[in-house]
Amino acid sequence: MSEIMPYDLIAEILRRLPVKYLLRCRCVCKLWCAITKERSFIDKHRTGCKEIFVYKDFLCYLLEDFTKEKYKYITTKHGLLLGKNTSSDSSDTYLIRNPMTKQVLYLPRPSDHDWSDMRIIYLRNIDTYKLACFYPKKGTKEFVGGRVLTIGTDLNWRSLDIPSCSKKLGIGDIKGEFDLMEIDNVVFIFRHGYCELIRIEMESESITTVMIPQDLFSDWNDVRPLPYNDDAMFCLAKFEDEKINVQVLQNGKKEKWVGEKMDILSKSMRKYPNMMNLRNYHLNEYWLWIYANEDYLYAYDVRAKRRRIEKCDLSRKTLVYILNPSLVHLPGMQGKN
Amino acid sequence: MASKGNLTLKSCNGKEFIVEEKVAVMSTTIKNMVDVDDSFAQGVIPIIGVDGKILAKLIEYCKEHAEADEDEEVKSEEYLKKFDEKFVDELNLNDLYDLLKASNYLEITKLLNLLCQKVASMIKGKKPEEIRRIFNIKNDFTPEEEEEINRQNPWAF
Repeated sequence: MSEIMPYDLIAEILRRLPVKYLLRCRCVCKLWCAITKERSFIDKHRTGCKEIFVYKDFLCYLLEDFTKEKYKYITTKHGLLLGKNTSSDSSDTYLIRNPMTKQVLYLPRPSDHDWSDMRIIYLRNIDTYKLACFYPKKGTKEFVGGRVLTIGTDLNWRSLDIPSCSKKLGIGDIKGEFDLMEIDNVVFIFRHGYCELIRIEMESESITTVMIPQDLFSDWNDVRPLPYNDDAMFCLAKFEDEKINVQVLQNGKKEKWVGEKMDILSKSMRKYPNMMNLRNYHLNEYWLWIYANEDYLYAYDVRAKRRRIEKCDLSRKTLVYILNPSLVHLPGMQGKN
Repeated sequence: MASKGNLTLKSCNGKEFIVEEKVAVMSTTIKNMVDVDDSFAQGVIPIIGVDGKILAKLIEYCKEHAEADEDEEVKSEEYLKKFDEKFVDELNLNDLYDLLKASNYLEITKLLNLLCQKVASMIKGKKPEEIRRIFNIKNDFTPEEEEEINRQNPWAF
C-alpha cells in the first residue's frame, strides 16, 4: 500500500484509528511510523477524536486513573492530564500523564504552597510545551505569584515577575480569587474584583497588564474568562437574559473592549435554569461544556459556533474532566505498567 | 455531445460517460472546472488517471447520493447507509485503492470519508504482521528497531 498510496491518503486513513491501534501501526513500516509522529497528524487525529468524559463517584473523593496511584486532577491539554499525586507518603509529586499512551512525566514540585492552579501551554512556533503555576498568598485565596517550567529543558521551576494588582473594581465581589485562561500561547489571570488583567505571553514570558473598565458589567458576580472565536481572543463573559454577554478584548496595542451577545443556547435548552450561569464550565478544545441537568451536558463550540448535547449520568457521580484521546508525547515521558 | 444539464466525463482509457451535472459536481474538482470555464460544461471533461471501471463506480456512488440530496423521501438516510455499506463491501482491495486515489483527486469528500473509514476498519484490531500481509507492505525495520518500538508500548500489542 505504501508504494502506491499517496502520503496524505495514508494519513487520512490512519487518523481514523484509536490511539492503541496507531501505536501498533508504528510497527508496520518506517513511513507509517513517521506519519503518526508528525505534529500535524497528531493534531488532526486528536481534534477528530470523540471526547472522553471522566467521572468520579461521590463515594470516592480522590480520582484513581489507570494506575493504583491516586492523584488530584489539575488541568488538561491536548489529551494530557496534569495531576498531583497524593498517594506517596513523602511530599506531593506532580505528573503529566497521557492516559491513552499510558506514558507519564514526573515533575518537580512547583512551590511550597498548599494550593496552586496550573496550566499546560503549547507554543506552536517552537513545538514546545511549558507549564505555568499560579498560587495565592498563604492562607488566603488572593493571587500572589507564578512560576514556569519548560518541559524537556528545565529541571526546576523559574519565578515569573508578575506585578501585584491594587486597583479594585469597586462593585461586586472582591474576594481576590483568580481564574486562569490560556488561549494559544497566552495565559490570562483574571482576579475577581480587580481592574488589572494580567497577560503573560508564554514564549517570551513577557508580562503586561490590561485595564478592565469598571462599567463592562453592571454586576461583576459570576463573570468568567473565556476564549472568543477563531482569532483566539480573550473575553469576559456572564449570562444575562438567556444569552452570554461577552466583552471581548481586541487584539492590538490599544486596549479596547467590544461587547457582544453570544447566543449559545438553543430554545429547547432555555428551560434548564442550571445552564444560565458560568460558575462551572469545562473547556476542551474550544468546546465549552455546561451542565444542563443530571442527564445532559450541553456544549458550544466558541470557534465554529456549533451546539451539541451529550447524555450523561450525574446523579451519582461528578464530571472531573473531558479530554480528547491523543498521541501527544512530551520529552522525558516514559511508559508505565 | 451532452445535452443541457448533462456533462460528459472521459476516463483515461477513453470511455465516455454522460452524467447529469448535479451528479458530476459531487466532485469539487469537477465543480471548480465547470464554474471557472464554461467550455467544460459543453465539451468533454477528461478524468486523468482514472480508468473506465473506476469512473463507472464513482458515478454509481455520486448518482445515489445526488438523488438523495435532492429528494430525502425517495432515498432515506437509512437507504443511503445500506447502499454505502454494500458499495464498500463489494470492492476488492485493488478497486478500493483506486477509488480512494480517484475520490481524493476528484475531491468527493463523502466517498473519501467512507473509503478511509473502510480501510481504517480493516486495520483496527490487527497485529502489525497481519496489516503488512493484507496491504502488501514491506517491513523495512531491522529486528532491533522493531523490538525498540515494541518495547515503548508493550501493552498496545
